[in-house]
Amino acid sequence: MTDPPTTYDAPVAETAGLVKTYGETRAVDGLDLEVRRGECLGLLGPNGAGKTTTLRILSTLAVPTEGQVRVLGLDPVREGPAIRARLGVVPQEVALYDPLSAVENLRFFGEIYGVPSERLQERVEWGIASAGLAERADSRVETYSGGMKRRLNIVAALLHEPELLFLDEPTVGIDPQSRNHVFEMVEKLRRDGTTMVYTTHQLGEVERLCDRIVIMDRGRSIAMGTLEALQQGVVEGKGGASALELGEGTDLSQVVAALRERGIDAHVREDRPDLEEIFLSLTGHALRDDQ
Amino acid sequence: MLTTAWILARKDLVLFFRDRTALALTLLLPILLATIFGSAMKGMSGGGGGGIRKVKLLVEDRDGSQASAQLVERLLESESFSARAAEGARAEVANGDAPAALVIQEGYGAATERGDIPELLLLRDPSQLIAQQAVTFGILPVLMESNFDRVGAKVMSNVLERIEFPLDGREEADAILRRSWESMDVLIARLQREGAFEAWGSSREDAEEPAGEPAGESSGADEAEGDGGFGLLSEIPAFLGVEIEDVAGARDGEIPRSAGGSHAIASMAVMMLMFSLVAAGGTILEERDGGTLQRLLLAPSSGSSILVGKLLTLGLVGLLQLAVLYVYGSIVFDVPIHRHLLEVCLISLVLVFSATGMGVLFGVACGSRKQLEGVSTLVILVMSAIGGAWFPREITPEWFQTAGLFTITAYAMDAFHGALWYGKGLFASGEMDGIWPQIAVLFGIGTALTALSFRVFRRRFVLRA
Repeated sequence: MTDPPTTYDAPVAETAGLVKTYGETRAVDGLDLEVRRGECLGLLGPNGAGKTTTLRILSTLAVPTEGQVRVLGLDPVREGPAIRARLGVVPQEVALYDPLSAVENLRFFGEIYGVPSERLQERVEWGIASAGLAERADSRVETYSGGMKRRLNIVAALLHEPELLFLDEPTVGIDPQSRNHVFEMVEKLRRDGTTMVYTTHQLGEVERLCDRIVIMDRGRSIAMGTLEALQQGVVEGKGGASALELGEGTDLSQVVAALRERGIDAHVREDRPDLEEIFLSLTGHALRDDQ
Repeated sequence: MLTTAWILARKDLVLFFRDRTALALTLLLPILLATIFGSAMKGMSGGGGGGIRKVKLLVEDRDGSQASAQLVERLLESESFSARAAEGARAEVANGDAPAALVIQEGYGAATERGDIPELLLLRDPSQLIAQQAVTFGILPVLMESNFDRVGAKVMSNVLERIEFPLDGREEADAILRRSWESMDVLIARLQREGAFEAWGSSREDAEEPAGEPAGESSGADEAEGDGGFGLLSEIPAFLGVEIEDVAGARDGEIPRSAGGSHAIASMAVMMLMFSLVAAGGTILEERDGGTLQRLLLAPSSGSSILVGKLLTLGLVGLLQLAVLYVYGSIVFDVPIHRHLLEVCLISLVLVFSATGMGVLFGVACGSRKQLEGVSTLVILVMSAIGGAWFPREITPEWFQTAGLFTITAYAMDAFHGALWYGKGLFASGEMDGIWPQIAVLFGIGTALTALSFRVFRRRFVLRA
């Protein structure tokens, strides 16, 4: 395993003017993105927004058409193996070998991802425990429930202790208990300082897990920031509303009463849209069937 | 119920007709295979058509008389086969260069002059059963045309002896035959002028072929006896003075070996190896569809090593499959694999290499498992047919044999046949060729297919520029 870099404060991953075309289609169209060390970045967007292509480029599986990309301070096109040694990807589909057991799967992926042989057993045991599969560790994966497979799918990407982790819709099709287990795993990783990019259509997951959010549409980033900043942006975008800044310790009810005494129609309204409203506000309500 | 059934059937028909692979396999494959079989069968039966391959016949004249020269000339001019004068005919037959050779023994001319049946020796390669039978019956009209007018009475006398005509009446019968032969002479002369013997030879050959049993499926016992399953008809050459000798593989002189067993093991080895390795190559598509390929591509040292791993797996599976088949063939069919272990091992290695390259190429080039199964079935069956895994290539038309040269099957079958039947070594020895050219070609095919696989794999899976 490669030691984490200690000499740069640059973003863990960044793109500038990133373009990726497939024939006439611009899957990514001038994307500027920054993933900061230790954060969990939520990457949102309707189908065909360019999220998967962006992740493919960042994970060295696709070559950009234009623009700059740096991942862990390295060039994904020329330094792919070095990046992959420090990168983990949890794919959207359950990418495991069904005829093998959980232990066999983890042992295989550990070996292929370069976990030193003297640490392999320890990492496999960690993976089994983290996925909550101790009782079924030697059963074939094909006998597992969807949730068990999902949990194993995640830990298989963590065996080599990556600095940067991409999670592509890791909770699709699983029950609430397993989803909660996944959330706890992600939160633990976040506490441990693993940088993550998390894509999902479950906006509640992003609200719970992510420090910052990037909303992509048509290959571009159309909004970026914390949830609060995005909420503010949407409120401002709506127009017609006024904000009144109050000093610290001010009693809001007294302010409202004072305004009303002066004949001003004032009332307190909590106007913080949830992420789904923000998302639809930014990307529209039209169906997106493009992949 | 019928309405529901029809609705279901209609849906299935729509699905079927939208599946181009299934449609092609259902409609195209039978046509293709029928074409191949039809062409081959036409070649076997010597039927008409410009593309029919004439069976090779070597002619060695040890007499040097005017009569023998005339016979050589007739044989060379015959439309029944492709005859060629040769000095060391036996060696060439033993080497597998021709299915048969007619040796005109010393004293041929003198015997003909006397009205005796002259001595002829027909050397045959028992492994080329169909071809050598075609030769056997192809030479009969030529021999009759050459000297039947002079030796006919003697031939008929031999027939009486063969059928054990009662001794008491033998002398009288001979006298009758001599008298009637004078009339027959006139008839034969006329028939010769009209070329009727040529047609007679062909029609007899067709009529005598056992119904429902292709000549190529004769039993091993038949092969051992050298009569090729043609019963009494096979004795006609003897009446004409033709002694038949089956020439086996020359190196260790074992007679007879199991050509049928060798062919069966070799053809199954080649065909089933390709099927199983293409199927195994399809695991690349399964890995792609299941997402594990992407996971592998994200490993630090991925890329080409994924394909090398697949090649290694396929190669080992292929070698295991061949080993099991060889053991079975040795025990059950007495195929002399252990006597040619080095050659068989080398053939197996290059065959597995080339079949592995093909399997992986299908795996990386096809868009789906379904497409792979359809295309590979088509390709492997056609390769097996034109490459000689189903029937000997030497009896097929010229274009057919030329097409076979573009298949793995043809080189593998030639190499197996050379080693297991003729006892050929890797390199030429004495008058025997070596099998290294076939091995080299298979290695070349394997190298080309593997290189192409890597190229396609990198282009389609590793980096999508």
